[in-house]
Amino acid sequence: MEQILLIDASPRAPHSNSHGYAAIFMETSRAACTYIALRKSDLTQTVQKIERSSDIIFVCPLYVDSLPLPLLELFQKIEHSVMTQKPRIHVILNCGFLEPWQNDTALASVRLFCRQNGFRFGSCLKIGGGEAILRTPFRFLVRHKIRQFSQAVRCENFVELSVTMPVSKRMFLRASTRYWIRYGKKHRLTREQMTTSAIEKHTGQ
Amino acid sequence: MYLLLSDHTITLPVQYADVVSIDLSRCTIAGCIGCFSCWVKTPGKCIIRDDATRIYPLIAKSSHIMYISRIRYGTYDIPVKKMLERSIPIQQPFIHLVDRETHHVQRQPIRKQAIVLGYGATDPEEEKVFRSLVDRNAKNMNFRSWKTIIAAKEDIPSIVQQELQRWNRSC
Repeated sequence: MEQILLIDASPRAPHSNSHGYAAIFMETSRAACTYIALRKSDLTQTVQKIERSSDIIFVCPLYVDSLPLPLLELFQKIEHSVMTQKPRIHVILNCGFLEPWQNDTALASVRLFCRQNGFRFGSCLKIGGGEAILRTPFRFLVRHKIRQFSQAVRCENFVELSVTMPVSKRMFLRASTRYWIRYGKKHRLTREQMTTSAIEKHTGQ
Repeated sequence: MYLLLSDHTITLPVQYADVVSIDLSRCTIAGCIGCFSCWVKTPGKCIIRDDATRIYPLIAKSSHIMYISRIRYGTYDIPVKKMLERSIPIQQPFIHLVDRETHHVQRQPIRKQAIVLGYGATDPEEEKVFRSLVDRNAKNMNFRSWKTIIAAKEDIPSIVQQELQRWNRSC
């Protein structure tokens, strides 16, 4: 019987966009799903949960064009563990850039990890505009793709999917700029302050 | 300034006055917590106060930078990856186009000559993934030119020496 473990490997899990994607998966999946926010202090327990699962879905953002540190630390923990059962691995990657293919190098790292450590790789979903897409009218596109992804996981019909905002780059730049200006305004910062060239100089509010 | 960031101590036979060499494995650097403070609360400054806060300003103002890292799953090993993630304060949250792709704007526009020296790759596929990663990094990290070298760990000191001499001759 399917037992799917969703591991949110965002550095700010569970208060992460990755949590949002995981939640949509759990709503659309017919399998028994468990969500965990990855923590460095829980790596041993996480490996035990992985071993008891039929499928693992890593959900994480792109960090410095590749996998975030928490997931790399988990991979190394897994490498040093003796596992009698190895579930199939799937991944949902998201980046703040418009182009979902900017997640490709991170995806290649997951595939390499699987190959090097005897795990089977299943499906992946690459999301562009990931920082904000769930808060836009394009959220339905993400739900649709995650539904397709969950079907692929369930039916073992492995796919590589991607989704992003269907807007021009110019429009994306404008929307993204407005998004960050609004975000900074919540903390009483102007755009000029946010674009400062000074590093390590901010004195705080 | 020439900056060397490595995941282990590199002993060079010749010392250069203008080279800053940092062994990241000997630094106290916590992982990024993804709070975005360095973008929307204290721009250019991380709220976690440890060794990273003296290193990322050096990255920003270097004209020449060399990263030396073990390769794991086609990406940087933990010491270098951790520092790269903690260097996010040197970027703005705002996005612009670089070669018709969306990328973050850098706070300081000093374009860098970069060398990324990796070791420990297990096969050609892993090397290929690592090279692709560095090519992606070049656009987000403001590299004017870059070179990816994959070598055996024992050859690293001599490669570093060679590359520093090359940098010296070209300046």
